[in-house]
Amino acid sequence: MKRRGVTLKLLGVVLSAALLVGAMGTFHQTSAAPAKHVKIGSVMPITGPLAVLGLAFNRGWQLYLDKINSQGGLKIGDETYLFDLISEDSKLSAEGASTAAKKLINQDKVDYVVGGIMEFELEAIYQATSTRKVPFIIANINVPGHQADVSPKKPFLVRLFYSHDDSHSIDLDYLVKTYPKAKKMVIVAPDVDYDRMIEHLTAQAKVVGIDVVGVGKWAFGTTDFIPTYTKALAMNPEVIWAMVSGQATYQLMAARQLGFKGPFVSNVPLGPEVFQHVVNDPTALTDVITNGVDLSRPNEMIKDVMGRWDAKFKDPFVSDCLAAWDQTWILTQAMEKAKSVAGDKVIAALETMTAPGSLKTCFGPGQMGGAKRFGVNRVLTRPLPLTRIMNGKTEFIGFMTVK
Amino acid sequence: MNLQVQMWLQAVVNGVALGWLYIVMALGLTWILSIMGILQLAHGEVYMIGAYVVYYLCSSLGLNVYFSILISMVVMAAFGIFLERFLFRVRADRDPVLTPIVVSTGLSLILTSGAVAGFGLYEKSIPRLLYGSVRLFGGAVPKDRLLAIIFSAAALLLLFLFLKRSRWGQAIMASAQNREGALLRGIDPNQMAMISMAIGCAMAALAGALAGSILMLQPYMGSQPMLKGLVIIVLGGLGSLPGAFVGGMLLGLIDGTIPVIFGPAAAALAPLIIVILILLIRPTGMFGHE
Amino acid sequence: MSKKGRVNAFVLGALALLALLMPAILAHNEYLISVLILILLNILMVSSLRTIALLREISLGHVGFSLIGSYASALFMMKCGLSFWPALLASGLLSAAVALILGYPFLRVKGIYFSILTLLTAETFRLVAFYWRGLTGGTMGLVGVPAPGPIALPLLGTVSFDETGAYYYLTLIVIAVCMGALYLIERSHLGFTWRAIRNGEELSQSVGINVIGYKIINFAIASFFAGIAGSLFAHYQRSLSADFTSRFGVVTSIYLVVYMVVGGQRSFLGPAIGTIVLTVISEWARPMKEYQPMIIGAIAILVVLFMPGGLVGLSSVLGRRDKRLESGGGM
Repeated sequence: MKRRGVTLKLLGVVLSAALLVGAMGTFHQTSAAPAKHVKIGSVMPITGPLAVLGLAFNRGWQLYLDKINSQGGLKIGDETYLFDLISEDSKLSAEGASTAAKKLINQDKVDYVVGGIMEFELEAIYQATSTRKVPFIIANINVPGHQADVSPKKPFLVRLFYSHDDSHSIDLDYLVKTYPKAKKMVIVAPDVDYDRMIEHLTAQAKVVGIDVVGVGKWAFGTTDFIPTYTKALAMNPEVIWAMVSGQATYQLMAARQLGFKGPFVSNVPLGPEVFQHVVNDPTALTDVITNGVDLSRPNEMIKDVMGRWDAKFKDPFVSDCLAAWDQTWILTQAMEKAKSVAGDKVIAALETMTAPGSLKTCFGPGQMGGAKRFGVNRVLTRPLPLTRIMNGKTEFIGFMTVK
Repeated sequence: MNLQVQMWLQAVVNGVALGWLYIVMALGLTWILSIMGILQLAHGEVYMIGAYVVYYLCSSLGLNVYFSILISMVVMAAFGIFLERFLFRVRADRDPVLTPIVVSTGLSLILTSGAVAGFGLYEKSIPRLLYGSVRLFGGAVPKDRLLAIIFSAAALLLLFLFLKRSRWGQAIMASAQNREGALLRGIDPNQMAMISMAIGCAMAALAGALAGSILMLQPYMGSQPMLKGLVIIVLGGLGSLPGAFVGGMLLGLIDGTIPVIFGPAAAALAPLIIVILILLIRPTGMFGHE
Repeated sequence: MSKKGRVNAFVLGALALLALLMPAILAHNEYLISVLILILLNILMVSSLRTIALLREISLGHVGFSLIGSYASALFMMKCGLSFWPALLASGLLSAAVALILGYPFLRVKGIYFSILTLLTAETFRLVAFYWRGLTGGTMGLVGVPAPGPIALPLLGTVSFDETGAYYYLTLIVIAVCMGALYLIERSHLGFTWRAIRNGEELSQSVGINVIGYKIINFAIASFFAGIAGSLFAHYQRSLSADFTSRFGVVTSIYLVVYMVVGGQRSFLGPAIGTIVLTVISEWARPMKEYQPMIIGAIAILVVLFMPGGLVGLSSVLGRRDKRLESGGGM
């Protein structure tokens, strides 16, 4: 008696589920793209601890696309193209990224996919995009050269985000010039596969006369850096290099609280305004070198982006969106060069834009590169901002060209 | 002083400071678990909301930090009573183990989304309680962590006095140790549950506020401390105040020293393995009952 | 066959037909089919979780055995040269073996302690996978996990499992077989003994039942199926990572419990219903963006507070109506 009720109910639920799943298809389906719309799908963590980054990137892409749409779209030959951005949540997991990418490709029929922060997301997204030959633009990578990165074996993949080790020579040169007495360095890095970058930095430091006396590693997700810096400071460094970490502000506070007075280098795009906002101890905000842009001294392009952000959003500006703005901007520049919006032609065009200054970015003229290191010219190189914070005040040194 | 020794001392000092923060967090959790018998998986979110309440009071209303912390504790205690009454009250037709797990999971999702909606994703900070560090036993201790220790110790002491000296406190102790016996003596389990939730949530709010001023605030800050709280209450045993104290200290010391000596992998694994072993050898924890 | 039996067979047949036709119904939309695959995997996970719940124990560490299954299967194919089916079976058996070894000390612990113990154990497995670079790729993750090799079928030619549609059918068949096995086990002497243990452990012990032995077998069987689900996942996703937010994290374990309770753990198909409904709602709520978790949370709370038997409990309303019509026929 109860069983029959169960099976009937089960039938009802499964039928409804099937109908719902099918309806999901029609419900979300955007209409087949007329020839004049280019759809870009984004896969970023919108929930979870990295959601701020996901938000900033989505806004950066959107702001540039708004700009080009408001100018009437992109003119290629006789056609004019408008751009749509559809964003999905990766939930910071491989399955989430994979499902999001598949939805964008199969449901929304996007022409390009952009996004990813963690390598496992990049892996998952590429698996979905490559089967359908949809170009995937890597928006961020922590470990350049990782298996998820560009390679000759991976068509339809391009990275419009710079490699973090581009910052090494810039920061080291400035360090040597400004703090000539700092000869012993400790590198503090998250315990992900940064070993190659650490080796690279060590070798480069040696060339300019700085000895790396130790490396302190901390688990991804650490919020309390006192233990890590206890160990790091026991090696008596004269300079600390906090490698590529969004937590650099907390690391700075921990280091200063434990008594470290030397220069603190953070080679991540974290802006000085974030340091000033988060670090609530004024005595810590000194002798800090960062590759973040000084928002109080923007160039024309950055000022434009900031203005557009303030007009559209209530939250304060997050400088990570500049990297995203550049990505969609570069995409349209490549489309103009290729005289087409087709993915394969656009990527081929990008591969030819390797002469210095071939690409325009918010940070200055850049170009594609990477043939020697990655096997293909599908990685962006562009100038990096260099800023120092002294006694609570930001000193913007400039946009430095990568050697 | 010898560099190695200094590093060790600093590590131990860090550990003790951390331990106190954990203790306050674990205390709330162990209360709720032992007296109500439920695993309140949203405890980390209560901690987070407690911190955000302090943030709101300080930044929008301009109130003094200490005062804000007190208000937050009261607000979250009231919230706890509300939660007990409407979400966690035991009823005959509800599975006593599974229902709280699902309800608290749902609550945790709602609270984090709510925090994102209400306060946004950006990291916020509560005014630092004190600046600078003191040198203690050869290590540098940030002054605000010292203050956090003092607050935690005070809270612990007050709680202890409440339990030992007041009637309600004794009723709760009785209820925790022997539910049926307490019932026979006329103690109302629902009332005990409400008081426990109130105390538990107030403790979580205190821990959240202290952590918020030392570390940072963001909507997802509650999950890690929650895991630590779970580890501590197992270490120390359910229903045991001294257990939570010892457990918290132990975990704080482990978290302060092992990363320094062994590195992140060991730091992550060590507490878990220790707790698993304890659970297997002595399932009720070091000081637990039943 | 009795009338009831005929109705059941008809319903099952209709369901099987529906399942087989799904890809066509969904117009071969790879996204929707991939959601179905994940639903199927979760159905097996949650149903095997329910097996443990038959003993009135809640494991919050079920994903730990799925992790073992995933990595083992991937490595069996990549490093040991096994082909898919042996790897699938071997990883299920490995998960069961680990459960057997851990079973004796673990199952003496009861109630909430057992839940916490399983949660911490799964976290330990995850951290080991996360940090053991040599074996699992560590924080870099494991990439390049192969799909099952192509097979030649009559009428269909060579079927390649790189393709989502083909993998769906593979998953469907394996899951259906596993669910059938679970159902039969539950109605067998084993299941009967488990229910006896649940209803009175001391009593069972006193009539000579080796309680701990039956519990260990239960745990091992449940973990076997978790391992199978893990293996299927590995060869579908083709890359594995053990981050906190991954499928092998604490959050997933808790979601499995939520699916089980929302569906209704007293019925065999309850967990399946809970999984389907909540996953569909979760996907359907995508436009809600950052508020999507709130919706799931609210639904979970409402169902569990107001429908104590879960969604399946709604059937008792229908059942009661039928009961009145029937003249009290047997079970």
